[in-house]
Amino acid sequence: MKAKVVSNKEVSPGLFRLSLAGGERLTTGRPGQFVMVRGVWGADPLLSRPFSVYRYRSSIDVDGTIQLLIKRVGRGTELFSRVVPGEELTVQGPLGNGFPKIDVSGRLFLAGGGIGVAPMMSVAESLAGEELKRTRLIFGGKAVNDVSGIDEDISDVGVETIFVTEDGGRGRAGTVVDVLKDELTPSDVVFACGPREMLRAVATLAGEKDCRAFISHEERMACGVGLCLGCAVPKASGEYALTCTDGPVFVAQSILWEEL
Amino acid sequence: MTNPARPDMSVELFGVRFKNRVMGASGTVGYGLELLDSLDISRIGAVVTKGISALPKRGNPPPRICETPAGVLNSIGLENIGAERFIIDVLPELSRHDTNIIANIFGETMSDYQRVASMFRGVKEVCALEVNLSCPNVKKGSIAFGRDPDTAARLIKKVKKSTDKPIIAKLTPNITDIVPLARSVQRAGADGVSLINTLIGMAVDVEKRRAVFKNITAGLSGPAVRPVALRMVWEAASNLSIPVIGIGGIGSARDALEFIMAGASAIQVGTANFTHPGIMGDIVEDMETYIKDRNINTLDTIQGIITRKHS
Repeated sequence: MKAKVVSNKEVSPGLFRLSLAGGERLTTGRPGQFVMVRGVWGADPLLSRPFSVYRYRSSIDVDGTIQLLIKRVGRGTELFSRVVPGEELTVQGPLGNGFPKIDVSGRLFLAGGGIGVAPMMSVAESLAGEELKRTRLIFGGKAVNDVSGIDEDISDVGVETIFVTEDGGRGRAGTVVDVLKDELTPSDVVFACGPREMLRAVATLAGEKDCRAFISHEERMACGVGLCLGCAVPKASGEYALTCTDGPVFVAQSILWEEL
Repeated sequence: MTNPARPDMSVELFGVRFKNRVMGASGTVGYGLELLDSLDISRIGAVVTKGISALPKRGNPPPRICETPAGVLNSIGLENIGAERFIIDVLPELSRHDTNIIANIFGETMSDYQRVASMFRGVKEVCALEVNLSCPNVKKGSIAFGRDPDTAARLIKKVKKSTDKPIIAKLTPNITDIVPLARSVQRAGADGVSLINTLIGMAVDVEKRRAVFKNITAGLSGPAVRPVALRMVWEAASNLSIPVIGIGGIGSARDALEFIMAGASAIQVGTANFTHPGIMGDIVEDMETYIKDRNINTLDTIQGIITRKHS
C-alpha cells in the first residue's frame, strides 16, 4: 500500500521519527510487528527495508498514522532520513507475529538496546492501568546519544524508564543486561530487542533466573513475507524458522544461539 | 485505434496450455501459497515451486541475503520440505487456484533426481517438471551436473525416463558458452529450457574482514543481471527448436517483452516478487495493454523478432 509521510523529525543526531499515514490496516497491527518500506527510488537500493513499528497510536501527529524510529546507518536508512512530508512510500504490513499478550504476575521488563527500543515502545503504548504500572522500559546504549530522542514519547506513553549507558553518560553505568541481572525475579517477564550479543545474554540470563523471555530477532530479509527464505534463524529444535513469518519475536531460549 | 477485445495471451508449450506467458520463478514465490496475500495467482500462467528434493533439506546457515547494486546475492541452499510433504500438504490447496503448477526439482546425485521425478509421476496437478541444473549454493549436485553438456544430457535422459511429464532444463549462466549446453539438453530430450539461474557472485564485509556468506560465493539476481540474461536467452532461442523460458531481472512488462522479442516463449519473474509481491499481475495487465494499444493480435507476432533478424 501507499503511505504518505506526515512528518520526519530528527529527534537526536542520526535518529529519525518517521510518521506515515496509510489507512486503518496499517494502524491495526500488534506491538512488535514490522513493516517493509521502500521509496520511489527504483531498483537501487533494490530491497525494501524492514522496520519495527515504534508507535501505532500517537498524540504527536495526526490520527491514522504509525511511527517508525529509524537510525541512519546505511544507504537505505540515509534515503529514509531525507524523506519529507507529502512524499509517498510503499509499505507492506504490519507483518510478523509481534510480542505475545501474556499474563505477567511480576513485572514486565521491556529491554531496548539502542534502536532496539523501537518495538518496545509499541508494547508499552499497548498497556494501561496495573499492567503499565508494573512495566519498566530499560533503554540502554554506549553513550548519551544512543539513549536520547524518545523522551517525549516516553512521557506520552507514561512508561517508567530506566536509562543505562556504558560510559555512564545518562542514567546508570553499565548495560541493559546488568540492569536485568539486578532486577529479574522468576515471576518477571522480559521482552528484548537490540544487538545480537545483548539478546544472547538475555536468553542466558533468563535461563539462570528462571524467567520467561521473548526476543525480537533481526535478520537480513528480501521480501518480509516468506517468499525468499532469506531470514532463516536456527532453532534449538534443529530446524530453521523464518524471522519474517515465524518471528520476529521468539521465545529467547528457542533459538540456537551458537549457530548465529 | 485500440482493439476493444481482450487479447489472447495464452500460449501452448510442450503440449501444455498456459493462460499467459508470465510465471513465478522458482525460489521467489515459495510454494505459491505464500503469494496469496499479495496476488491472485490465477492471473498468471504458472507457479514454479521452489526447488523440491526427494527428502526435506535444511538449507544454508544465515546470513542468506545481501543487497548489491540493483541486485541481491542469496545463499539459501535449496531449503525445502521435500516432495512428499509438498504433494500431501501443499498441492491440494495450491491446485484449487486456476493456474498451472510446475515443480522445480533437484538432487545431490543422478538417482536423487530420478527419485524425486518419479515421486511426481501421476500427480496430475503438476503440469511439468523444471529440472534445476544450476543452483550455485550447494556443493553437491545441481550446478556440478549443469556445467558440462554431456553430464547434463545424461541427467536429462535419466529424469525423462523417470517421469510422465514434460521437463524443462533450468540452465546455469555460469559457463562460457550457453549454446552447446542448451543444444545438448535438447538432444537429450528436454521439452524446454529455462534460463538464467543466478550468476555466481560474492560480497565481503570490510569491517569484519571476511566474506559475507559462509559459503563465500552466492547467487546474484535482480535487475543487475538482466542484460546478461537477455543475451543468453537470445543465444539459446536462436539455436533451439524447443521453447525457451526467459528469467533474469524481469520486473515490468517492458522487461518481459524484451525477452519475448529476443526469443523467449514465456518468462519468469523472480527477485521482483520480493520487492513488489503483486508485480506479476501488473506485468500480465501491462502486456495486454501493450498488444491492445498496438493492434497486435498475439505475442506470437513479436516473439523472437530479434532472433529472426540475427540468425
